[in-house]
Amino acid sequence: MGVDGETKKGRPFLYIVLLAVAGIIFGNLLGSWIFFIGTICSVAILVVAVGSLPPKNLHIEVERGSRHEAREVHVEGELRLKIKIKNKGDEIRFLEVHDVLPPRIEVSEGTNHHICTIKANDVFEFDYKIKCPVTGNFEVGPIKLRYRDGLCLFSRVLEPRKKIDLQVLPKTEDMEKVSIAPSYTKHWLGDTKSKNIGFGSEFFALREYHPGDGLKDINWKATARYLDPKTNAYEGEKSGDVILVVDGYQEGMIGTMEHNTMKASIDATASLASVLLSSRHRVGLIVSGSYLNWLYPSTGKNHYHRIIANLTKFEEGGGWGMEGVKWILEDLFPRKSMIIFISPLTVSKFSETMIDLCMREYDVMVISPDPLKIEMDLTDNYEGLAEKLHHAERQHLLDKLWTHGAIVVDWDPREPLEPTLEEVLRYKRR
Amino acid sequence: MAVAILASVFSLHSHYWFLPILFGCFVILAYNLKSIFLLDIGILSSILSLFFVNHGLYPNLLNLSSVIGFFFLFVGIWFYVRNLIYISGIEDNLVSEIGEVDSLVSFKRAVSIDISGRLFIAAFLAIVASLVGMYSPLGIDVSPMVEILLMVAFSSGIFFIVYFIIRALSIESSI
Repeated sequence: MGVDGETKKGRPFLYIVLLAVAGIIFGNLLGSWIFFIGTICSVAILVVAVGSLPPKNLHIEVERGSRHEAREVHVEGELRLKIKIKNKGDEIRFLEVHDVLPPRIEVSEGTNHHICTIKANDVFEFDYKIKCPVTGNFEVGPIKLRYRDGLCLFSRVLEPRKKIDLQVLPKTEDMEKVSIAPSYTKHWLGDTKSKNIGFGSEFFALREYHPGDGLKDINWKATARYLDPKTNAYEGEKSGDVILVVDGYQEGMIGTMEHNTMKASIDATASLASVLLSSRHRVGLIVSGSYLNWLYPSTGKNHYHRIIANLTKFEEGGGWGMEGVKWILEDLFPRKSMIIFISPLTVSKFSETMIDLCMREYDVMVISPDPLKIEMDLTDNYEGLAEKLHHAERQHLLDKLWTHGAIVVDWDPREPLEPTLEEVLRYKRR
Repeated sequence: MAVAILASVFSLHSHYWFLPILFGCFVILAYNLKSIFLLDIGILSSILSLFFVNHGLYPNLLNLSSVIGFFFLFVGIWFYVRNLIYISGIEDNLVSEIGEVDSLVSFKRAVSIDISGRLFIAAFLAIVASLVGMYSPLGIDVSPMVEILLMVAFSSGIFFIVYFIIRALSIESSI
């Protein structure tokens, strides 16, 4: 349980004592009995106050819900927190319970602050819901306990306890209709049709039977026609490597703490990672923010959680140049990977790097949340001419990227990403 | 405010009868601004002004009861409003369809019962002590020298009682 604090006297206690003393002083000075009455009344209150002291046997246990409860919540999602207070000592008339929350976390239902009466060997339970508008790792708690009496004369602070770590994950969009496939596939199985014959589900051609071919692959009709065993050959379905590169430069970030280009980029990255991993591609991540962080391409649910964890603890910055990103892509990550840049294209370093990689024949896609759309949502006061200039500048950059062979998705972050991405991919396939 | 008005009505015999009402306004302001410090100042000033305005009253049972009654009314309101202001800070952060929480409603009820109970006992003790002091054989019919000596003894006694209470509570708190 730990060591608890001492009983403290509140300001009303001091004021009552001062009243008692003032009564004597003024009573003597003015020779008036009324001030002595004030002194007697103050002393009477002090005598009665002895009964307000905290109980000697103060033994409280605090529990937070169950150990198996999830400590993760998505942005704008709600999480219910339960707290149980067990009193194993004497009755406590007024116990104040306050579960401290970090500044960015809001209470969406109920309250995290209660004052209760708990009888001996009794339990007090309460719950409340929280939500957080930004991603990140947060510490909820500790739970502060304080005994206070009804006359506000005494209080005793008990040792704070039970912090928990809360992870606020980015919001992911369900993008079932989107099929992102790298141009170059690897030799492991996946959902992307490769240019080679191999394991798959789509019929490609007939070929001669080779010893070792499975009985189920033999085309019996063709065999009967040609009087020679024939086997079905299928279009190979393979998977490839996709690298997601997130622009975390603070100088290019537009918007407020809760609604900005960075948040849109993180949400888009999380959605893309989910779609790509479910298509059995290997997904890598490079995040360029306050520090350069990367994840080597891999597959599976655990890898998805690693990607989300990296995005969650990501902080915008800009101390690292794009040379680091290029070095990782060229020297550390597999060659011929598809690279998807998620960037508002407000920092020229990022745009130049994309063009450079396009010219080196990398398979590049750019998903760019339009910062002007975010700004329009936040302010009513903007100039039409400035908007047109920004629009023209942005369009020029996007056209330049298209010209160099990149697939460019100009995305309004106020809308879902799936329709825009699907439209661009359909146009590209034509 | 009602108590302050009653106190002023009780003090109409004095030139400064309006002082309790004036300091009572501090309490109203404190409640609206949710300021505990302003509330403390307002109540203490109201109590002291009550004593100052009535310091020339004749010592009889009616005046004694009235002064003690007003004193404990002010103190009771002081403690209750202090708790209300504190709870309002908690309720401001409450997000609920019904606008209140059971524990805080129960607390308001329990604290008003607690304050009333304790102040009734304190008022009873104060009245008994005052009556003993007023109607004891060593009352007002003594020589000036004896009166001074009694005043000094009484004042010293009160100082020691207050000191011992604080001392006892300090020892209790360190256990």
